[in-house]
Amino acid sequence: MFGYVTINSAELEEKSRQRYQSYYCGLCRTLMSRYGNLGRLTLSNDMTFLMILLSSLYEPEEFITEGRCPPHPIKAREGIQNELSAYCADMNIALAYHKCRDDWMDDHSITGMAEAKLLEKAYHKVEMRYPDKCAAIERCLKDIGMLEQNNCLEPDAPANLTARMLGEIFVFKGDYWALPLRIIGEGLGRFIYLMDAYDDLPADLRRKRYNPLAQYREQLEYESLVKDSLTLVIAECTQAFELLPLVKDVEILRNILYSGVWMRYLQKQQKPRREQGKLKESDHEQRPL
Amino acid sequence: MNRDPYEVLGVSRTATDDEIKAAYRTLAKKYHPDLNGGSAAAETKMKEVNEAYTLLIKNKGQGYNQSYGANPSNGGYNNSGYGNAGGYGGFGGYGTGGNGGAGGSSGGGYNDFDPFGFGDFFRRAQQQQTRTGGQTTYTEYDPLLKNVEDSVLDGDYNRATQILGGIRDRRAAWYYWSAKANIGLGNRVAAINDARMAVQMAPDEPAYRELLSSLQASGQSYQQRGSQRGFTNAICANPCYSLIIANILCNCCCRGGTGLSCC
Repeated sequence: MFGYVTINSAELEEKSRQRYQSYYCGLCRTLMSRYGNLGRLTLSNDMTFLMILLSSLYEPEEFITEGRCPPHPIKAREGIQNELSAYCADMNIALAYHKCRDDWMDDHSITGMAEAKLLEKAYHKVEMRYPDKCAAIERCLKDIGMLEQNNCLEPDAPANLTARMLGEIFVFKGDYWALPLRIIGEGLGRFIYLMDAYDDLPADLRRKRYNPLAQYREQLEYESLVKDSLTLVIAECTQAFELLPLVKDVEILRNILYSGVWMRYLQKQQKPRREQGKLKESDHEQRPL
Repeated sequence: MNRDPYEVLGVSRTATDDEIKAAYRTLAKKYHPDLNGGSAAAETKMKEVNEAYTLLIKNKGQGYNQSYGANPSNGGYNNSGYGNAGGYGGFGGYGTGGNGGAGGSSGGGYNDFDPFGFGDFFRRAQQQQTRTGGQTTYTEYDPLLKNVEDSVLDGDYNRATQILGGIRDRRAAWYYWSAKANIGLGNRVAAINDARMAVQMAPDEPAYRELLSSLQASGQSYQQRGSQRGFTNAICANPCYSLIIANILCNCCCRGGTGLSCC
């Protein structure tokens, strides 16, 4: 959704970095084959994380494809695809579609409207396949929208709704591992929502837009409160994560959960101290939706 | 399950989490029903392996090792496992949704199969609340706070919040009880904020500090786990006013392999 759930490539071994890249490319190719170029443009880090998490848990057979794509026309890249790719790609479409719709509703963003219109057909396909997941996403987003309209001053209510939405998406099937997966998704959902609110606060204040952290901004210990809250919710996520019997690619997942998720936060902390620009750490393509 | 879970998984009593997970993987492949033509024997075996794994991994750090006569000597890593991390006993469900919804008092409200005891985890939160009942509860300055306390102990957090909203004179005790109600409702930011306020207003009150540090405890084990895994960017436990300096410190101690937490 917002690109916070990413790797810290500086702390990941070359081999694992390649694997991450291959998962990313693989998901991109699944999006391409299912929904065309437009679908590919929606690719998110969050669903790449889900793809690696579920692949590590269920260890399905991998299909490696090699190919070039418009952003990387010279060098062929490997892509990992498996039986979980389709699910992750579909959830990616569902989230992207609603994100574009929200942008359009909130800011009357023309590109948002155009993209939402274009994604509509793809979304309907996803809706047919996963009616329950899509209904849950819609319900949560509708409730979040209502809270924003009512200028809800507590960040917990919308954060908990985002948690519920991502928790639902993370439960791929109702098996033995459903509950830890749900709690991982919920923790990430809370983290993403709070991180996004924290990230956007200065801009939101300037433009007089809704931000649930606004009322805390005046407090002396605002920064510590945010940091404690972010740490608590990601801690809950990793407590459930460490319960899962993950071996394959677990170093990538841990890199994301213990380090990568903080990249944007640290960047924000250090920004005033450095000159502007040259702050992009990630060496893989990240297309903001 | 009657057999020793260590025996079922074929690992030693000093096995690390990662070793337990690897052993589980091997056995799960061997006994997976799909790979055994749906044989009933394999299915029973798989069930036994699942139970053994769950028991070992969820009880890490809860004294299970001791009861099985092992020596929990994994450099403290076990202690940061799920079992006792947090100390606040977990949050209530997220049933609030901001619309005064169902409330979080039902102990999570999850419908999934729960072999890991997340439900227990949430129930423990309520027991924890009860336990403070015998101690001083700081409700003297306002009799309404006594009603708040009762509601919290009954698990009726919405009512507690309602009463709290009607109290104008908000001292440290008000924030203490508000934090407790928010824990029950699953409102994490509000709970931390209230606990901080209580400590700020009455820094010498041990119960307030205890509540705040219990809310910070799972975050601290998270940071510990992160630095034990060699991540230097995991942010520091206590507010570090200079993150750049903190990062340099992190690099020093973590790269050196001593595994010290950074602050």
